[in-house]
Amino acid sequence: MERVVLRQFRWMLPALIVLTMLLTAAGPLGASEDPATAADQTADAQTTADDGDAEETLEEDAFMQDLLNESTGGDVPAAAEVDTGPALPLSYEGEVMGSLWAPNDHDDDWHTSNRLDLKGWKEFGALNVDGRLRLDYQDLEDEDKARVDLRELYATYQLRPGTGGYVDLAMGKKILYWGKGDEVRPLDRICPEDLTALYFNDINDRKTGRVGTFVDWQVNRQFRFEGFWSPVFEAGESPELGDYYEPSKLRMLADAGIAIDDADEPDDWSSDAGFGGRLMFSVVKADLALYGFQGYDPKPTYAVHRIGTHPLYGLPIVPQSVRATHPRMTLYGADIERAFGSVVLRAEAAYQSDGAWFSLDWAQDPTLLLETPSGTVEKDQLQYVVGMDKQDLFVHNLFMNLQFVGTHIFDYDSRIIVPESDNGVTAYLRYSFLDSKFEVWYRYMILFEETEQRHHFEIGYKPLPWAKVSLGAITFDGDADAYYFGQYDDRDFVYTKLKLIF
Amino acid sequence: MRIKLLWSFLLALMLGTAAHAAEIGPYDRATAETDGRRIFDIADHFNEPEKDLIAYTRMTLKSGDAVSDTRKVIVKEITDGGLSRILFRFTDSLKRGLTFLTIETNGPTNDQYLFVPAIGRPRQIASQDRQNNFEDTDMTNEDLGGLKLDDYTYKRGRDATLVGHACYKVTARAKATDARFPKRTTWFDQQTFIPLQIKVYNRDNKLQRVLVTGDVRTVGNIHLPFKTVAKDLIENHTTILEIVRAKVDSGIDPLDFDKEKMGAAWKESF
Repeated sequence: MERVVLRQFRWMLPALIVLTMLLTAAGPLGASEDPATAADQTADAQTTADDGDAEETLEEDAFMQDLLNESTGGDVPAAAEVDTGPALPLSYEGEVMGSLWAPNDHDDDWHTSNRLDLKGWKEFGALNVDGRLRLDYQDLEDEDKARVDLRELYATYQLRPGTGGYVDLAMGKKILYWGKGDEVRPLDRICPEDLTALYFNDINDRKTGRVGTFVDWQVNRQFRFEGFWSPVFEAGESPELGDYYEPSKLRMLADAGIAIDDADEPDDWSSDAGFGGRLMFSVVKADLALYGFQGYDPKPTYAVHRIGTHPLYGLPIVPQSVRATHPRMTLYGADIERAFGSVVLRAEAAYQSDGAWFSLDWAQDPTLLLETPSGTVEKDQLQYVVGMDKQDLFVHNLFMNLQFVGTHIFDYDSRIIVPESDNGVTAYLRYSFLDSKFEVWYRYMILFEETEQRHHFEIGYKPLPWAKVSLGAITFDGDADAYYFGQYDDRDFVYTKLKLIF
Repeated sequence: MRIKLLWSFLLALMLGTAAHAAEIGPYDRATAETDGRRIFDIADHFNEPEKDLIAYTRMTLKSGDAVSDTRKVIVKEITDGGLSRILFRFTDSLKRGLTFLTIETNGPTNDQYLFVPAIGRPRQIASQDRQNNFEDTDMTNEDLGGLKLDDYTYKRGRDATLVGHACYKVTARAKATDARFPKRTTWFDQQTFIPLQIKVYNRDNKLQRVLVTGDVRTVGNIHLPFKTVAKDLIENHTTILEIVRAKVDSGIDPLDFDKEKMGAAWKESF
């Protein structure tokens, strides 16, 4: 019985609630509706809503004004007081960088590498003139050296026809930036590089310009062509005997009594010193570029220069000297970059059909010089980079780049010292925080064939907007006979760096 | 969203006439969604320079109440064939030369590139990173021109008054379910379509970022808010942008807006 009553009550309760709500909404039970009262209630409700809106508006206004009144700090001049005109007729900017390298297993000396970079530009109507000058001093070479390098000085004339796109014609000395790889760019071989500090400086800071004429034609929004002709050859700066980064193979030859002769460089001026171009375009959000270059290689290849006759066998198999040469090279290539999801993928490949010369192991087997007196053979070579970027990895301002790098020699000759193929990985992590007052980065590279590795770590602090101090370390690892990083296994060091800009 | 709206979100650099205001009727709940989209569409097309626009800007970053950094910024915009390109470059401090380019496209996303002088080449920005903060600022890549109108749905709210200006209030919700900031509410000045205030909400529906504009001046026939403040309420970090000088249709070189030219020197300085 009790259960039946409860069951009935279960249905009654919602009905009572609904009835109560209806009666409450209709007004007092049994009372007729008073229009005046209803109007007053509506007005009151409206007043309440208006008051609410006004209050909300006031709050919004106050909130907005508070934000707009945010102070820019006492040491920040008001925007209107900022000088808006250039102080000099020439626009310029500069940078001073000094570094001190601690002693290590290689030697007990402190070393230093310093530079002052100046960049200036000026517009003369349709003509723009740009220049870049470097003064540097370092004690990383056999003798302390102070140098002046006019890295760029070129004039650009702008053609802006109504149809046919935009054209810039430039003449002078200009740096070209080819390829999309991060620090490892197989295509970026046009401009001479200063490798005396090895990879202490980034690739763009190592380069100097090429003298010539340059055309930059933006056909339309999709296509762009850059071409150049350079009648001047300039070799890059490479480590030599006695330098901090002297190549171990060169040292072994010198210790064996083989002389290092003066480099065999092409004429400074020749009409075919170098020319090339690249065509850039986009396809389905992918940025592509095709490249071609022919000219003398700014980086040296060492070849046997003088050969003596063996006293016992009477054969020309006794190397007496080697020298740096700069063979002509033909380079074709392509690169691509495209975002996929939250990562950006990129790839770059360079195929060298001429001018890739490889040393034979004549130090072990001098008879190789009978067939190839230069001790080098020419082969086609492919170099490539495939990589990805990720910005804001896990946390904001953490950037990561990972790359797979490789090289392959076609029609491989087993007498060649370097392997037929070699692969490796590069990694770069950079994190900045406290509005970039602090920055930490780490760069790593490993080559699998000889397990050669290079680690580069740096932490920087910016006490002023124009000053940065850094502390870093570089370590090498690998077989001492290896060609790349292993030979510098004893040259790990810690350094401090100061950078000022103006 | 078209790049012109960059000025709304970053500098709120917009033209101002009352002509389009008449195209928007009074608030009607039944048409709130189409009205919301329409207001954004108008704002998008409302304020474009005939040829180009350049703004010399000073940026102040604040962490809490303390000024943590100041930077000079030059912003350039060019309109070509109905599509815009915008460049944003730091011109002093150790960030000097860092340049951000947005290329408006007719496709579902705009193209964005970052040029860092130390790297020496432009780097694509992944479209999924468009709601990530740009460098150390309180603005996202999306605020810098990466926004596409079709990425959001819109709903107009009741009109409101903000610091004496009658405003359209529109709430935009991201279609992407993984959006870092799924909702933003914008107060557009009914006269100029300048967004006087934008409130941006995070995934927890908490108000995280607020952008406000003020000190509106006339440059040529364009109204420009000379002060924009963006604040991250959760991080308690603020970005203040003050325009020092601005020019309209001064004849900026179109080649400056090519990604391969992002490292080139600019004749403009301040």
